[in-house]
Amino acid sequence: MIKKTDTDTIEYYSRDASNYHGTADVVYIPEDQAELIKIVAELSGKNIPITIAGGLTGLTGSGVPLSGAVISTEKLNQIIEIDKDNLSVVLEPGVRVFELQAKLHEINLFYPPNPTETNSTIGGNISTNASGSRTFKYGATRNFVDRLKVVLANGDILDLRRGEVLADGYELNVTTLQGNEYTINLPAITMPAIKHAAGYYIKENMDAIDLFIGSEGTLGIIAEATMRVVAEPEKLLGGILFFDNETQVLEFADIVRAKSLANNKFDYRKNLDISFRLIEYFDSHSLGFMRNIRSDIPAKAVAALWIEQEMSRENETAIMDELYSLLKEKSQLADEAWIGADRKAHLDFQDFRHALALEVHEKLVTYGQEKIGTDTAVPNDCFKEYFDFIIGNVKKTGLKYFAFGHIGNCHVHTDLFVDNESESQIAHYYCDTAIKKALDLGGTVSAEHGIGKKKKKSLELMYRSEAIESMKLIKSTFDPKNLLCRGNLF
Amino acid sequence: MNILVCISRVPDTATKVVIGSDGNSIDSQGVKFIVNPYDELAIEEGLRLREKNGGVVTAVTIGTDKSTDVLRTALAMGVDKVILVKGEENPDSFYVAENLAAVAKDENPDLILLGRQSVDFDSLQIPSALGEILGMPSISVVSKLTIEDGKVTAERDIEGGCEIVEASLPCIISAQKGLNEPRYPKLPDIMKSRSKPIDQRDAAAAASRTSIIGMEIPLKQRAGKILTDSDDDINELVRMLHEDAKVI
Repeated sequence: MIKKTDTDTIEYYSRDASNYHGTADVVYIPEDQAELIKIVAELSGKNIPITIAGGLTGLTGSGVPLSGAVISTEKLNQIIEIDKDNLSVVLEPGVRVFELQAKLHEINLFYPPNPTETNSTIGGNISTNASGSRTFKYGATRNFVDRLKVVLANGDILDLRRGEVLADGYELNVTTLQGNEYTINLPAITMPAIKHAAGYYIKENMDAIDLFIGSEGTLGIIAEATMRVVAEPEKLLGGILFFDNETQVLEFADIVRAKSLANNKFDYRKNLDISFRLIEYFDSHSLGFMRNIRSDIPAKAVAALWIEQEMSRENETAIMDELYSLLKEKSQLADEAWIGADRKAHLDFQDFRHALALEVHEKLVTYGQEKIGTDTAVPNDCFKEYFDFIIGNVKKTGLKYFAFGHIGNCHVHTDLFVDNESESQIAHYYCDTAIKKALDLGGTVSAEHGIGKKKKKSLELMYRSEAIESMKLIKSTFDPKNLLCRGNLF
Repeated sequence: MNILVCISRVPDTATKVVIGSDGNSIDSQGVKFIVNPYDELAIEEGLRLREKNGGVVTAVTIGTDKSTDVLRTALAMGVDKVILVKGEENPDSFYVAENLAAVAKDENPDLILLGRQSVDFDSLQIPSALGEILGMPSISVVSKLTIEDGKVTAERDIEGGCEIVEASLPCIISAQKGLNEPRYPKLPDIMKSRSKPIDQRDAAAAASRTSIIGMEIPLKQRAGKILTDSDDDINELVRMLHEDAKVI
């Protein structure tokens, strides 16, 4: 076990990628699972609050401590087992997504959830039910979690396998390896039927494992996870498609979203039409940013989409024909698209998308600002109305902004830059307006970033106070002294 | 300007290589093959020279029917013609150089471009061997190239600096990282590349002079162990140096 109390180390663990800032007295870095379990029991015996730090890549302050101790999972980073035949991996929580992907790629496998920040850890991904570009086809982290070993606040361990512990209606019973039983009464709430990461996952007859996925460290600490992985497709086409017209990029996105949602239900080798596994959007301001890094973005481009399409030798010609003819209808820049079919190109395109997030972070740090932006998503049939609404409103703020992200999932982020307090108020007002509109349309306040410490107000907008009170009761059942990740969600 | 670009097909650099049951080749089951990354630089340089000076870029590879995929990639990037010399499955550098020389004699290029090395066997011999066989100047590991009025000026990376070399055309250049940034193929070019003809030729009478008698995966480096300044760890360090490493 490594223990650090020096100011520099503590400062490092007191900030996340949104530049949210907190403080702690001590940082513990367990080097194996036994040390993790021991330190949790020890700290909780002394009533010391515990915040779990993964990759510190979060955007809502959920990994940032407010007081007490930080436990960092950085040394719990073993890929314990890769079972190629059963398409499953056993991981410690500190394994970084990029390390896992590289290891899997060696043997032609991949892990579908692909958060933009691949420095994030698997533990962090599970705790926030992280999603990313490929969530469009494959869903969020939740869909890939088969088994979790969770350390509770008192040091007890839950070993949950998917399908083994189910709620009876709205009553859920779980028993720890130590034999202690917990009974939870779940509130009868309805979650939006879209990509969603706000508050506990609650459903009638739900699986106990799902309660812990996305609970932002408030119910227990993940010590080990068994995740499902997938065989790499025979061929993969990636592209950055450029558009010279802001309306036509949206029309193109609507068409390919609908085609993909229909065709992704079938074997990728059989499709003869578009079935993208991801569709990511860049507006003109985003491309403006990217022009600082890449000189080869076509001068006439005012928007772009990053797409990936799984293919086989049999259908690649048909799919490319379809893509090209559709693209020509909607863009004068069809011949300028960047197209790649090898891993290097795919990583380049992924980096192109990620560079945008990094560039934003850089600017925030330089100017000492916190990130202000939206993480809302809405059902497909309301997307156009929602998109027009947020873009109209964000323009009205007069602030510098850009819009980008997961247009496949109807989940486009708007991020704003502010120079002073009054601009900050304008930006926050805009975000609240966007959230209210998303909720009116049956959407979510947070599709992927989670609630953490920064977006608690959004959770209150989403659920009635009784529902939030019952979520707090779940928390106090597992963590009566409110020690784990204090300040997250509530 | 008539430019010949020599390319090879190599396993994707991120693939985990497994040795085949014969013990002297890799098991290609499930392995993805790509254009040798250094050869992509050679293709790009050929295309840029053609865009500047006009002419024809021809890509050639020595291989089997499987190698058509890398030739299609070259076509998608924009080369005008491709040649597949059908030869031995696992040729050595001499065999490849002899066959490339035979193609060069037929095609009579002003400039021959290659990657500095193929990332599969890393022999680095072909650019020089080709120069020897053809009696042409050959400049290796080039990171900057200028051709004006038939005069070639090339910068080579050398230990701690760079060397500037001049030659006249025709000559041979092997490409190093930094020479350019290879382009992404365009959709219409990818589609056109699928139906373009591949000029297939039989291998020249040449024989490999070396053969692979065995392959081994390198031993993994031993993982380091970090010890702290606690008394227990100091004792452990002394024990490890004495008993495990046997140096004290």
